Amino acid sequence: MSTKKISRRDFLRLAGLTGGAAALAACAPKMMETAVPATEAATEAAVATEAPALPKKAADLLKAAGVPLPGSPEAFKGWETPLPDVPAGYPLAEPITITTARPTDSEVVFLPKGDDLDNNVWTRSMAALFGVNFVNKLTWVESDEQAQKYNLAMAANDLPDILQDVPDDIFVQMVEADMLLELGPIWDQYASPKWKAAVEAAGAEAWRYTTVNGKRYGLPHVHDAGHDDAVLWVRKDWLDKLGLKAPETWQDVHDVALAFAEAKLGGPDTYGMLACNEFRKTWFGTLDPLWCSYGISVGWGSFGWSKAADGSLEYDGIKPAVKDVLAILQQWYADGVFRKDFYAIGPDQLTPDLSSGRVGLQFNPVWGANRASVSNTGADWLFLDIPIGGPAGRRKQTQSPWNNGRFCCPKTFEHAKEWIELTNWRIELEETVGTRMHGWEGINYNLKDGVYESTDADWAFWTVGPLGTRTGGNHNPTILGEMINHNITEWEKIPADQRDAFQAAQFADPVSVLRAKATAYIISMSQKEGLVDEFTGQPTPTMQEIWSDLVDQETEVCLSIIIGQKPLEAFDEYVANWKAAGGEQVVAEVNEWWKSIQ
Amino acid sequence: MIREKDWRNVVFDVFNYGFIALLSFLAAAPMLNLLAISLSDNAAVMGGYVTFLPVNLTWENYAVIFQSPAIYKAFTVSIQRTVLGIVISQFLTIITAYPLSKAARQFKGRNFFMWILVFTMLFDGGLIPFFMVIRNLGLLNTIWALIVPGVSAWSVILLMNFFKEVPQELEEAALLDGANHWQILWKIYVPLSVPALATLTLFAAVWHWNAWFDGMIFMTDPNNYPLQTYLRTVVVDLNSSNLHMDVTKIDMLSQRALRGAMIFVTTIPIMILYPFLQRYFVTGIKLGAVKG
Amino acid sequence: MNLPTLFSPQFKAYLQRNWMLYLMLLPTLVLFAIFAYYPMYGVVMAFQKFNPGLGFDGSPWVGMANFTRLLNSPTFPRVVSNTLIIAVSKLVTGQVAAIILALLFNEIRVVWFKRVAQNFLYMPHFLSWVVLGGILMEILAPMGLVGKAQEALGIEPIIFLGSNTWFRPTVIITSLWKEAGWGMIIYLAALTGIDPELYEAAAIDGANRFQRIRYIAIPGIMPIVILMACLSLGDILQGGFDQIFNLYNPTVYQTGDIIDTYVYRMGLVDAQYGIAAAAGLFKSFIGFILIVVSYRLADKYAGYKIF
Repeated sequence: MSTKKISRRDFLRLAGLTGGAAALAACAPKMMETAVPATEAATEAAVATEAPALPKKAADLLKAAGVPLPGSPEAFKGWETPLPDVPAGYPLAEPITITTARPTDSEVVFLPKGDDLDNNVWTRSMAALFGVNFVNKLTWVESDEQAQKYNLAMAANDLPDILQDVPDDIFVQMVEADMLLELGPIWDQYASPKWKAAVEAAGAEAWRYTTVNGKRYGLPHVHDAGHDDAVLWVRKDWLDKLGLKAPETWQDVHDVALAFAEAKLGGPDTYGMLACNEFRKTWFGTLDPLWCSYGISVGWGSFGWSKAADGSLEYDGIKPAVKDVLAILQQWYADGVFRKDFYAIGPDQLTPDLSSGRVGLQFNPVWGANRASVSNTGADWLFLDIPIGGPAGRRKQTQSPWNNGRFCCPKTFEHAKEWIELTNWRIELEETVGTRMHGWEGINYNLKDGVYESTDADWAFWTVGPLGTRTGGNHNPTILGEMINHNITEWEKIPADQRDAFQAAQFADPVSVLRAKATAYIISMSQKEGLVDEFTGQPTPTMQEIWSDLVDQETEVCLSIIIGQKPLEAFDEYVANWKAAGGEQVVAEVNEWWKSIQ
Repeated sequence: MIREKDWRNVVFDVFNYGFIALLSFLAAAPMLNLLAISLSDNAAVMGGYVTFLPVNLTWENYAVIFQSPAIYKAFTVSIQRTVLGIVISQFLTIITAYPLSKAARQFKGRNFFMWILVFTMLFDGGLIPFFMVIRNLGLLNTIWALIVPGVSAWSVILLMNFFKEVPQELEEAALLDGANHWQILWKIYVPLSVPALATLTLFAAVWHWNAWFDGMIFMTDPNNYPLQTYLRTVVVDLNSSNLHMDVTKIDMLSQRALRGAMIFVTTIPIMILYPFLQRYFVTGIKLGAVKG
Repeated sequence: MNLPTLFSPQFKAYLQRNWMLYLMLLPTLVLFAIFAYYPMYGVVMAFQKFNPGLGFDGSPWVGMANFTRLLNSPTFPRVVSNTLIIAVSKLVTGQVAAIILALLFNEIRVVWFKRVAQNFLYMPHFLSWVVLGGILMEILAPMGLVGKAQEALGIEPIIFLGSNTWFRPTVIITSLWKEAGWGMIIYLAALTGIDPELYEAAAIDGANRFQRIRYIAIPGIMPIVILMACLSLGDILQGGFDQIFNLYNPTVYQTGDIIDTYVYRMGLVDAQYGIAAAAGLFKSFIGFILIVVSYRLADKYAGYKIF
């Protein structure tokens, strides 16, 4: 069997059984009810304005255009991918072109060879079904490049139609320059009931990050809840060898880490737990669960802001509890839990430690499992709850899933309606519990004698937002968790020999089963355990003046204390300086913003 | 050159050769390491077991690279821009350096032009206006966007200084013979400045080959990316986007062996250019001219 | 030149002889006018709160606010001083190393050795700091090669990239390692321009090898040395963003933070093009003054006009 790993995306983009509809998640029945009136209304409207246009069968349209159908209904141990009906009015009699701006890199692989972002089976399907051609105008690999290109496009007043992941500061500037389309009302008019229900369930939070002066200028790029949230990963085989039990409190973590370091089970350079100079929240080897268990929320590079008892916002970086955590970290560093030079390296230097088996504990989101599997035969990783032991209990840093970026359109965009209706259709196909969209045979996967094997080409990377894309996107933060849960539980019930090839493959690779379980677990926990940085506005005037200096000082002081260069008391001196240098003014301004959005 | 069998010379030579050999090895070490990585099994690389010799020798990484059509496209673009760029920039550098190498008495306004050049080395208006100029001239997404701005004041000044070294008598003799400036430049100055020109050609070639930023900004179609820009889409620079990692990018981190091979493949062509140019670094050409 | 002289017969004769010189300058001047001088209007960004969507005409003016913000920041003096120290150290050690290497190479007779060694020596120049930084961080770590070597010698491994005492020397030495081999090329070219007869004459007069190097080779390349030194002065406030960015961390801000990395971090909080533009203008201005000063000095004391 091939060693191609099944990406989390594959596993998650699955569908349920064709038969197990009754056992489905709660939203399913509701969807059925509300869907009907919508189609009726659409048909009525169509009747009123023009000749009756009935919804077409997607399969027919695709066949007529010579585009293959997804799924493998005929194959041995194959499955069928039922396609929703194409709404009335599509495909458009006169095809339109929508230009896009999106991230891409070498992981975006196309099959068959010769296809590219503008021309692949997904774009051909969209053209056949809807009469919409997607043409890519702007791409980037990483965020600095994206910012450059967006700036240049703004300066030239030449923006593509769909702008993916417009960063906060550029978004504000675009609004200021009056370049963006107000998407809110258009979405209100054309989004499907299912989509609307999901968004309305989140309340004001859903639109918070795309709203300026009461107007909604973009669609949120929604991540699954708890996407970046950490869990504790531990080397189960080391625990067993040393006869230890899984750590449950912070003291346990410390002891287990030291035991690992002393036993040198991973070679002479073994140490206890991952950490790097991004000692707050980072993407690899984060320490946020420790901070959050003391009530200190952490942002990406500085501390965060939380609600105080009186309803105002306070900056967590100057709270007394910070000292408690610094004391712990200082002790841990002195004892040898972290690597000696952790403060001189960044998160990317930590990945070799994981893959070469030098470390036994790590706080990481789901991808902790992935790294571990690369070169370590025999390594058996287990994920655990965040330990308890701080005054705030079991907490970890989380981020609002609606705050993962935004999709915006320039004012000149004329086809927002078509884009939204196309997305409605896609939600039915890709993000419904029970769907079975796994891609196209011979393109995204191969079926050989009833065995599923994924190719390197991931069809979701070819799609245009707000769903799919190279950096993910859902219409609803919990849909992913729901789909995974449904599949794990439902498919496990089917006897092994009766599963189809895709179902069988999910259980064949222990790493992806592990990741799937971790994902489902994390999503369920993020609501309960997550601590959010409440300040999500633009930098205030004083912040623009002094914030980067204050953050530099904060980082320098904290790291010096942790590595023992400065005593714990240096923190108090730092706080006094912070307040005097303008920190209090910043707090006041942040609270002004806070009041304004209540 | 006269050899002396002095013991001091022997000591010096031993020290010299040994020292240079040591330095050469130190300098070459990262490249050798990369070569070893590129020929190793990825798991071994990730585990940190590879130093200077490949572990579990495999050609797979190179196979993957050479099977991808994108790299050939990128190679072609890079070669195009480098060759065109060298030809055009060298020509312009030569004809610009020559007048400026004349003394101010001889060539009125020379200082003024000189400072115009120097000023541009220090001050610039930033990316946006430059981009707009390229765009308004219709050069976006064409090879000319990468070439046209390529005359460097620094090279002109360097060549100008080499030109200054050419003995005055040669020029005077030629003028007496009725030659004009164009002929003097190409028949006298250029042949005498071959080492300098070789150096500048090398610098220009390396600059063009290594440039990635302009390709990224001015080529709107990724199919037109020159080699180093294309390389960036494969070898992710994680430092600058470290604030918000995406889980799918982390998979790319694990491809160290492939990335090593990529870097090696894109660097080798330019590194072997110098040996070809080395034969131009010879003495005695000037001398012959004066005597003759 | 006053108006009457412009039309005098001598001037006409002058033009007849030398019109070609002006023509030769023309293409480059045109190119520079279009691609260098015209875009310079972008420096106004340093005086604005720039919004690309509003453009240079539409963005609000803030006068000197960007500059005062930069210059009044308590960290700015530290950052400028770091930049100067690091840049000057790199400049001096870089040029000296390149010169010494070129002189040593000049004494090597075995041709194949010379060629192979040269090619090895300039290899690091072709690797970006992203790649080299990663390699260095691994090597210099306590669990890396250098760390293990220190342990073997019985020393407690020094965390070079985490120590304010060692960070700058590390930056300078690794910069040498990367660039010296490349920097020597220009000096090699200069050395080939020295008349071999001078060496022979000196040898006949009894000068040994060291004296020949001292009295012939070094003076022979001195014009280029001065030129390179002066040209590098224009970059005195550069300091090398790529290198520092890929090697530094908050614990070495004190000695390692340079203007460009500082401005970069400011841009992370709030992308203000105005600040970056102001910093750039500041650097350009200082660099320009330094070049003018060094030009005058070289002229007066070395009798050498670099331009």
